[in-house]
Amino acid sequence: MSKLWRIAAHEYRRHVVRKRFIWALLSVPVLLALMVGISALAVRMERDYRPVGYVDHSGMLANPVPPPQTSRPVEIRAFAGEAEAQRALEAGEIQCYYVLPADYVQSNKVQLVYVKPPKNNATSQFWAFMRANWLADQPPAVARRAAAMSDDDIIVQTPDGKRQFAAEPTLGDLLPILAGTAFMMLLGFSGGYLVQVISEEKENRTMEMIITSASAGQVIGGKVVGLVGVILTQAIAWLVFAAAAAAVAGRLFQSAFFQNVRVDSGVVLMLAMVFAPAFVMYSALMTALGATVAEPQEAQQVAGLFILPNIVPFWMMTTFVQAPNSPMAVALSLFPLTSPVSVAMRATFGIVPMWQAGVAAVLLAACAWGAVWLAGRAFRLGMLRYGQRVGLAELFARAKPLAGGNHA
Amino acid sequence: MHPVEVSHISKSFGKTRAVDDVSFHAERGEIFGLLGPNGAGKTTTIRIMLDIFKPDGGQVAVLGGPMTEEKKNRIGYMPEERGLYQDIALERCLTFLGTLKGLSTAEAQRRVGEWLERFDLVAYRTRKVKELSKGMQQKAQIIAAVMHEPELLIVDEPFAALDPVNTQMVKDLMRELRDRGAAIIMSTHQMHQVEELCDRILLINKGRAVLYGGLDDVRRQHSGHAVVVRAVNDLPDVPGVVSSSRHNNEVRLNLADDVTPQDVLKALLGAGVVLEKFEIAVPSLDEIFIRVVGKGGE
Repeated sequence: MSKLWRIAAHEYRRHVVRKRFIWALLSVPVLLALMVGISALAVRMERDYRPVGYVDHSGMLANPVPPPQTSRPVEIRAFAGEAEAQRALEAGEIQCYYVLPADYVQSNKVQLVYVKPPKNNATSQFWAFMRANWLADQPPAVARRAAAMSDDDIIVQTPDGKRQFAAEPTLGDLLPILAGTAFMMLLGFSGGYLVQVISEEKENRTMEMIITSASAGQVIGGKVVGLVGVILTQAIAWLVFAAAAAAVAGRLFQSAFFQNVRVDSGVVLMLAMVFAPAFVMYSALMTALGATVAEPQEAQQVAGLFILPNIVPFWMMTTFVQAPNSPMAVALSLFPLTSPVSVAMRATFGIVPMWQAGVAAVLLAACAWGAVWLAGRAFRLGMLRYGQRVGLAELFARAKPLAGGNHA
Repeated sequence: MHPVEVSHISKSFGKTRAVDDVSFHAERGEIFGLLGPNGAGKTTTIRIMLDIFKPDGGQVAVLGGPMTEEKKNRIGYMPEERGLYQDIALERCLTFLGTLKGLSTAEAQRRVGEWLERFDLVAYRTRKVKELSKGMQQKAQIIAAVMHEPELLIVDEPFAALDPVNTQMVKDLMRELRDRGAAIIMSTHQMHQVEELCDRILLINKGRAVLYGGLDDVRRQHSGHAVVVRAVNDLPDVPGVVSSSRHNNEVRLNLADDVTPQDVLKALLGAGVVLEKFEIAVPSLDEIFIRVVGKGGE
């Protein structure tokens, strides 16, 4: 096994068995379980599937049209008179009943009788039933659209049909922005790890031992590869937990939001094109930071500043939602430090032309190359500079031959 | 070809000249002392040898030429400041460092087990390095430097934090490695350890080499024209002795330029003096160090 892989494996093991990592890993499923649990409880408390009764004196529901199909219907039960309905209510057979007076068609007024206020799922299904009956004499398509009383049937679709956005977005529609958020969080974790590792090893002189056993290229490469493994472990674990939570939530709430996770492969490719060089760029910048600062604490503080640009697109969320192809949104997509989250956001709310994603990826790759060069230089200049910073002027001074060549 | 050949190297950091035209070589089967006061340039010289720094001028040949990645596996290094991973178990830390020196994981584990046994650290194998005492960490650092049986061993202050028993253990180890043919370069301030272990030395002061050669030669060069005598009876006046000084029950006799120690010995015996000790006065390395460094390396 080459030394690069040995260092990578060592870094991976060293971080994955740390309490900090395990807590970070478990925090997401615990949070998700908590959210799903609380939501399930809230939903359970807000639902009542006992029948809803009605007494029709108007004759409008003499031959009722059945209510629209739902995943879990509430029976709409007809009663001949109020006395019968009242008995059923008091016996707990129904949660409420409506009385349609003789002049209902003119007055549009109904009386609702209950012991405890009926739940929303029941009232909404009753009114859907009423709308269906009001529109019974209309053509079916018109009746269906009017009964829905919303733009539910309006779906915005890309010309190639690969992407669409309905009035009620699903989890699949929001996945790009969720991926961008997860990417930002992973950058925060990974950056923190890397900058801490480099600055600690510099401070406690471990680096001096390592660099006399392996080349600078092997050391930096091994650390970054090990860290990518750590991050992938974290990302995959989170993905599995999130998918499980979505599946559970989808079944539990019968929610289309969680059940539809279809993602356009073009968007996935676009995000991969941008995320990969961005990760390398940020990792290299963190390495450079860890090697140049005097103390690990200082490194941690400065590391936060590097992650900050990724938050800018969130501050400008309104711009991205209203005009995902505005000059500002495009500029943020092309600027390397804000590019990954901006592209993810635009891909959520609009269509990002592939050429723009390509330019962003090329710019990021160029910056990643520059950052790796800078990291290598900072590493070699600063790795044995105990308790001292490496100045920017020194970092960018004309390169002199430095030790610890790049044998990989 | 010597394992280490350093030729006229120099290195500056900013305006500070850390190493200035230093040359020396280390041979197989010898312990070479690299001496000097704090800030003299010893550590910079070591780092140049190890290719951590490139010299501004001069050349270094290690194990027959420039440093390569392959050669790093044949070199052991123990820095002055301990450089072990603090937050992992001792055994795991040493095994990892062993694999970085080209050992397979299984072989590294086997050797680590043997060395922990030898250095009485078996009971601490699963402890985190930071939980060990300074002396234990020092021993662990020595294990990391020698477990791959290097041809060239560079140790910086190897006896720091060690008690007398462990100091003796490390001395025995260094002699053992020397006898097996390894070249050992030892940087230390403990002159008595140098006198006991080293075959040859280089003294650096303010970046420049001020003393270089075999230990005996260096001491002889710095011996005055004097003898040290301990006798049962009082010493008579001896021709050719220009002055004398008493230290405990010994007398140092400073000789005139044209008088040899043999002349003095003959005169003392001729005068019926019963001698318990007669030797040419040779200064200790401590004295030479203070004298040379105190003079500013002239």
